[in-house]
Amino acid sequence: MATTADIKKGITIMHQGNPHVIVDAQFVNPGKGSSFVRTKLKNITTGQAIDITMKAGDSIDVADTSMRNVSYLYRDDNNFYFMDPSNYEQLSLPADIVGVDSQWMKEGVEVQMTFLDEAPLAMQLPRKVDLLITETPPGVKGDTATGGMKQATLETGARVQVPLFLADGDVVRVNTENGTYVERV
Amino acid sequence: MAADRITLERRAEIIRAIRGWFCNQGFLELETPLLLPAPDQEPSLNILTSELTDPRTNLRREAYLATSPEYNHKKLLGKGIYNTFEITKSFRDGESWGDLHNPEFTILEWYRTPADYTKLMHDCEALISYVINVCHPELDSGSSPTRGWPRLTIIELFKQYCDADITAYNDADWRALIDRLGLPGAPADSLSDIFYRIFLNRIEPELAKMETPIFVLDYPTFQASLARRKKDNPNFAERFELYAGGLELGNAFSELLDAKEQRSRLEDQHAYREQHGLPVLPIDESFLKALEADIPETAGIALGVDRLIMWLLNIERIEDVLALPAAELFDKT
Repeated sequence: MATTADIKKGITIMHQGNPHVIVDAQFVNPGKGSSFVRTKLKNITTGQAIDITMKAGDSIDVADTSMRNVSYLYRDDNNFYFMDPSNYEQLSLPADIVGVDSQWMKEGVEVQMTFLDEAPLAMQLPRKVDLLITETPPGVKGDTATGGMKQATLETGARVQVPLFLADGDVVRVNTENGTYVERV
Repeated sequence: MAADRITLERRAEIIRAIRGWFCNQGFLELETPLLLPAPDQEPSLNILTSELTDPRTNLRREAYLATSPEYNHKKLLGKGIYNTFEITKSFRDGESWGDLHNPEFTILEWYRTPADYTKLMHDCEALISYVINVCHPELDSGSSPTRGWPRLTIIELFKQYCDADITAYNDADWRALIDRLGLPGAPADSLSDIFYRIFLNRIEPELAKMETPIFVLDYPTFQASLARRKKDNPNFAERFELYAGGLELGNAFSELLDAKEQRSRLEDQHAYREQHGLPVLPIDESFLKALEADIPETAGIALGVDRLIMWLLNIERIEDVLALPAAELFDKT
């Protein structure tokens, strides 16, 4: 059986029957007695975060997860569909698991899919994606020196703040973690 | 990330202000040894070990890096040197680097005589409000109230957050409580283990939500190996911890100055280390000898200076207040 000594950021463990990824782990000595491990867990399917502090040496249940890169194909009302390029197998994830990431999902984008016992469980977008601006108001001349920003709608429907010099048809790189503009491509 | 130039300037300014407050109060600044013949016995501490040659015998012998200057200051109490403070480095191994810990860190230790731990709570409030006043307005925590911080006993906290009255708890009561709370436990858990499983999961997260710093006080005696027992309930000892923003900043005691009781507690820890396969360390006989002197009532505290700076500057990670944090230092060599 695995113990807290096997805890590392990024591994998946079963907690109350659900797979959770360890997003943070801190080994601490509260001062008197044993050492403890403070962990921050994220439920892979719901995204909900919880803090659990375990005693050093406690056993943990490491989940049998694996990760592969897959390509996004299309969506319908309930599901997002992907293809595993290694075997052309089609896979799906419920839309509520994709959640807010759906705003960055462009056909063909490669995402990292997590499998639990070989079943698709969750997906992770690349940190940056390139998307086309479909609609943005013209920039006001002379305003560029202030570092002003304006709203732009992207091909996936997402809205981001972009610099004033950008126009419809430009491709921009955006950070999918915080939804901010990075650069013009 | 290491601290930038501006943070290092603020850090230096805070440390100057701390030193200023103690000098104004008539404390004696000490520089005590970091390399010790016998370290702290506390089982949870992972001690860094070194070696030196004893020139009298030409033999190599073990030496230990101090986990705090506590024993040094108490040895000086035995020599009649009271009201001391020190800003120094301490060393603790086996903790994560970067967020809240660094293997060497800056510690502020002070001892007040005659005093019990309540006087040290006033000292903490006065010291920190002085630092904020001197370093204001650059400090981000300047708006935080600096007096009258809540004093919450462990008994009150367990009542409030665990619905349990631990005033007269015995071993079986503690084991029943952890079951009732639905927290995982192990049959081999000591009372300290159970206490911390509950405290860290149910109480400490609540402390992070409080707006002012708080004092958590009167720990069960099994949680206070160097503290004096309370007169009205010997199951509890006069120890407090200072928390700010959920961060544990300091740990204080009404000092245990009874050499006999101190010896028995150190021997218990020594035996615990043997039973649990931890490195067995020599008991510091000269420390116990020093306590045989007739020392007036004294209270002592250790405060993490890096963490105090983090709280004052509203910085979340310890490495961001250090010039050369361990992760950077050991990464490239």
